[in-house]
Formats: sequence, C-alpha cells, structure tokens
Amino acid sequence: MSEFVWGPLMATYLFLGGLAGGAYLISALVDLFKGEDYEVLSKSGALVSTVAVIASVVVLLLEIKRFEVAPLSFLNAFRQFPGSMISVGTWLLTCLLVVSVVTVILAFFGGNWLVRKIVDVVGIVLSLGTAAYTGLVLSYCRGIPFWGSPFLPALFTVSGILTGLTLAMLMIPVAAYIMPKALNSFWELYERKASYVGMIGQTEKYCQVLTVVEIVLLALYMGTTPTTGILLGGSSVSLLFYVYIALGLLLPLGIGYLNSKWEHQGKDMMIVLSAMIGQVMVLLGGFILRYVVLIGGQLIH
Amino acid sequence: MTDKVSRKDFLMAAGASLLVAPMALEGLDRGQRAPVQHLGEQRAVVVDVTRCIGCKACQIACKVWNKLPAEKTEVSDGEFTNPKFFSPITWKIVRFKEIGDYDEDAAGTGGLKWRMLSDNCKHCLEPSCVSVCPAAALWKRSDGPVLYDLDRCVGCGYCTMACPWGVPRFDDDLHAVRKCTMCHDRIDQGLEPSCVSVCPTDSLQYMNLEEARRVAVDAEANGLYTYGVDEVGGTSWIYISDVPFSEFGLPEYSTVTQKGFESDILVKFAGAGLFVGGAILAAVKLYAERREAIMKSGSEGGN
Repeated sequence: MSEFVWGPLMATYLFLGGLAGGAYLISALVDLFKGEDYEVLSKSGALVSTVAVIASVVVLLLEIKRFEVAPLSFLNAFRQFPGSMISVGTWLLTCLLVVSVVTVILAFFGGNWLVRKIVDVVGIVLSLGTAAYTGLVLSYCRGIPFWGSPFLPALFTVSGILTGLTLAMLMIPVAAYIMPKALNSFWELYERKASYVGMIGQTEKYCQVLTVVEIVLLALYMGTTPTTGILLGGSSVSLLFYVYIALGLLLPLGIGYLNSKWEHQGKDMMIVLSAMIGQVMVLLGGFILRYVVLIGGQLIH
Repeated sequence: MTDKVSRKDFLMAAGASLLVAPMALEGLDRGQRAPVQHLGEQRAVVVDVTRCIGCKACQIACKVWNKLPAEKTEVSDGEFTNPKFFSPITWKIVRFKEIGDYDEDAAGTGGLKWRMLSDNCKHCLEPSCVSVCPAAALWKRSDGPVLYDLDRCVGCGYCTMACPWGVPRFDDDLHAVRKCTMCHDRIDQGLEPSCVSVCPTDSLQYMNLEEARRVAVDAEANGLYTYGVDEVGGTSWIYISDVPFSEFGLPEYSTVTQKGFESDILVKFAGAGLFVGGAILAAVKLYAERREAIMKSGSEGGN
C-alpha cells in the first residue's frame, strides 16, 4: 500500500487546472478591458489555457492508472454531475477546453466581436469555477481536517490566477517565436520596446496585488485549519513550505519592487530578464503550494 | 459600437453577483440538511464496547469469510491494536485502549480500564464515499451495506480522503479501493455478518436499524456514550461504551451529512470569495486611478 494515495501527479493536476483557469481569466479580462497592446497577452492566455487543460487531463489519467476503464470513467464522471466534485471538475475542465479552443480560433483567425465577448464572459465564469474547483475538491474531503478550510479554495483560486497570468506572460515570446505570423502583434510591440516593458511593468503590479492577497489567504488558511503544525514543524514538507514562501511569494515581490525602480532608470533588458525569473519562481511556488498541501493533509490522515 | 465593457458596469455586476451567491447557497444548504427520517428495512450492527473481551475473533472471521490474506504487521509502543490501520486486505480492526493511570495501591486492576472496540466501515446512512465518487462505483444498499464495484472504480482515491474515518483503502495492485462490505453476501442468504456470527460475548449484535437506535438511546439514558446515532447523519454501525470514544481515536463529528458539509464549505468559500474579490477589484481600481492621475499630471507638466 502506498504511503500517499495522491502524490506529485495529483499536485500537478491541481496546479495545471488552476493555472488553466487563471490563464483563461486573464485572457478574457484583457480582451474585454485592455487595448491593442495587450492583444498578445490575451492570445497567449488562451493558448496556455488550452494546453494546460489538455495536460491536466493527461496527468489525471496517469495518476489513476486504470487505462482500461478510462473512457468509461469519463462518461461516468459526466453522469455524476453535480453530485461529485470531481464530476463537477470534469465538466468545468471540458467546457473550459471548448471555450479556450474557440477563443484561440476566434483570436487567431478572426471572428465576430460580439461572439468573442460572449465567449469571454462565459469563459470567465468557467475559469473562475475551474480555479476554485482545484481547492474545493480537497476541501470536500471530510476525512482530512487539514483541507477543510474554506480559505483553501480561495487560496488555490488566487494562486491559479497568479500562475496563469505569469505563464501567459512568460509564453508570449515563445508563442510569437513558434507562430510569428499569428502573433505578429508581438513583434510590433517588441519593436516599441518601451510599450513591451510598460506591459511587463503593469502586469507585475497586478501580480504584486495577487501575491499580497495570496499571502493574506495563506495566513487565513493556516489560521483556520486545525493542524497547521505540519507546515511549521521540522519535516521535509515544512521545508518545502518555507521554499514556497521564499521563492514563490517573497522573491517575486522583491523582483517586482526592483523592476519598478529600474523602470525609471530605463534598464529595459534587466526588467525583462528579472521579470522572467520572477515568473518562473511564481510557477515553481504554485506547484510547491499544491504539493505541500496535498502531502501535508495525507501525513496526518 | 465600443469594443469594451465599462469598468464601472463590470464592478457593479461583479459586486451584485458576489452578494447574491451566498444567499442562494444558504438556501441550498438548508435544503440538504434534512435529518434521516426513513430508516425503512435497514439493518444495523450494535457494538457494545463494555462486552468486548478483545479476542479478535471478529477480525479473524472477517479475514476468513472475505478471503483476505494476512499481512506483515508490527507491535509497537505497547500497543495491542494490530494492525493499527485499515488496509485493502484488513477491513476489521479491534482497537485496544488502556484507560487511566496505574495506581499500585488501588484494588483490582490498579485503577486501569481495558477497553476494546471492534472497528470497521460504519456504513453511513448518507455515506461520504458514495457522495464523492465520480464513477458511481460505490452505493448504499437499501438494507444497509455500503458496497462498491471494482470494475467501475477508476482508482482516483477520492473516497479514501472523503471518508471521515479513512476506511476505504487504495489497493496498489488493483488500482482500486477495497473495504468492508458488511458481508452482504451472507446477509443475502439470511445470515449475520461474519464478525457478528463469531462474537462470543454478543458484543456485536445484528438487528433492525430502528431497533439499534432505540438500544443506543436507552444506553444514553443509562449514562453510556454512543457513537453513530447522530455522527455524520447517522451510521448503520452503532457503538455503545462506558468511556468516551475519543479514547479510541474516533473523531467527533456533528450531525451534518456529507452534502451539508459540502454546502457549509461552499457558503463559507463564497463569503471568502466576496471578501477577496472585493479586495482585488478595489486594489486594481485604485491602481488604475493612480496610474491615470500620474499620466494626467505628467502630460499637464509636459504642456
């Protein structure tokens, strides 16, 4: 018998699910409220969401290992809606995948603006639901008091939005390199370096707001779960927890602060590079958070 | 026609929806907390801890009837509970507990009490495992047992986490969960569960659920502790003891069923979402206003 029923693969599934929701949310909000310069972020968010949803489903299949019942299990999961939270998640992820693919098609190949806006609004609901699902699926486990705090889904939702935003930002140059024609607006933006650096600066501000909210929610979660000791003791789980706080929360905040200083000094390349380092750290922290919460809960099961 | 939605309209709509969500969820919460009223023909087992002598016949009978192999175990910390935890091949455990401090001057056992509790799946009236299973691989039979279908189980392990007592256990070889079935195959033949049938002191008694609940109420009236009458909405395995059940490590649970528990979490999460959403929107709005003001003052300065 395994020590842990849910391990790194499940943590990856939850991480990718939250990230997919967050990336789509950013894509839709940017499309609704931001100008032309941010079009690349909207496109990147939709792409990241699509890939992340597909990846999360693949990871889930690897986690459950029962390939012989996998097709049937998906049908069963759809039929159990809304009784089981995993079934709710199956629907959310499926619908989010459809919306993400439609958004990618509309964004890259053009389409009626009204259809795009309607898809955006539907997608916002689905993406928030998907990000929240990754926490609720744990909170509903009555046998594990460590997960039974309503602040856990809130923490995972905010972390999902933050990781979605950072990966969408990180993937802009990559997507533009792979699909130069589809993302030609990036190269135009890149030519106007100040605009590109300005976009990085502004998204970093939003990341800072989200990081501060995540820290507050983390404190509320730890304050409301009865077995916080597992995170603060001397185990390897608590060590990882400190890594998450240092690298996933505090370091990106520090980088954001430095970048705001460098913005005034015109150090464009430094800003781009340090922002990328901060984004990678946020992603690493997002994964560690899921892993620590997942393993920590099972340690005292 | 403009391509954008006004920020003010969006903030108002978001605020209104966040206000309405908890109220709607509160209604849902009330609807799902109905007490268990229709016991029907459900069968149950009463476990009287005061009668148990710790012979472990029930533990062995479970292994024998269900053809469950033995497993390597360890005795540690002076603990006679062995094995300590449920596993895919150990569905029944007799928990041993030494209660009190030894006093050599005291008569008899020196002030110590030995109590044993025959523990297994409680076969909840509204089981968490059934509720969370995404494959409908678990179900509650109308006469009491909570059963499962190995061929339907997808091996997600959700039930192992959701069960308040950690009863369903994941089998790494089968990639599926296994647990006590209340010997449904014996019940179908008009027999008692195997553990009940071998108990030499009638510590385990098989009866109608309504009768079992009456026995428990009578025991409470006589100053005894009970477990399973109210916990998580009631169970088909009801315990009676002269010592608190926390002594055996059984957690305290309210009468709220799994659905009620889920609604509670959802309502509180909606409240937290209202708080967080409001905070993020306010922060973003303040940032946008500040940025606008800086840009405005910059352009005025330039002129």
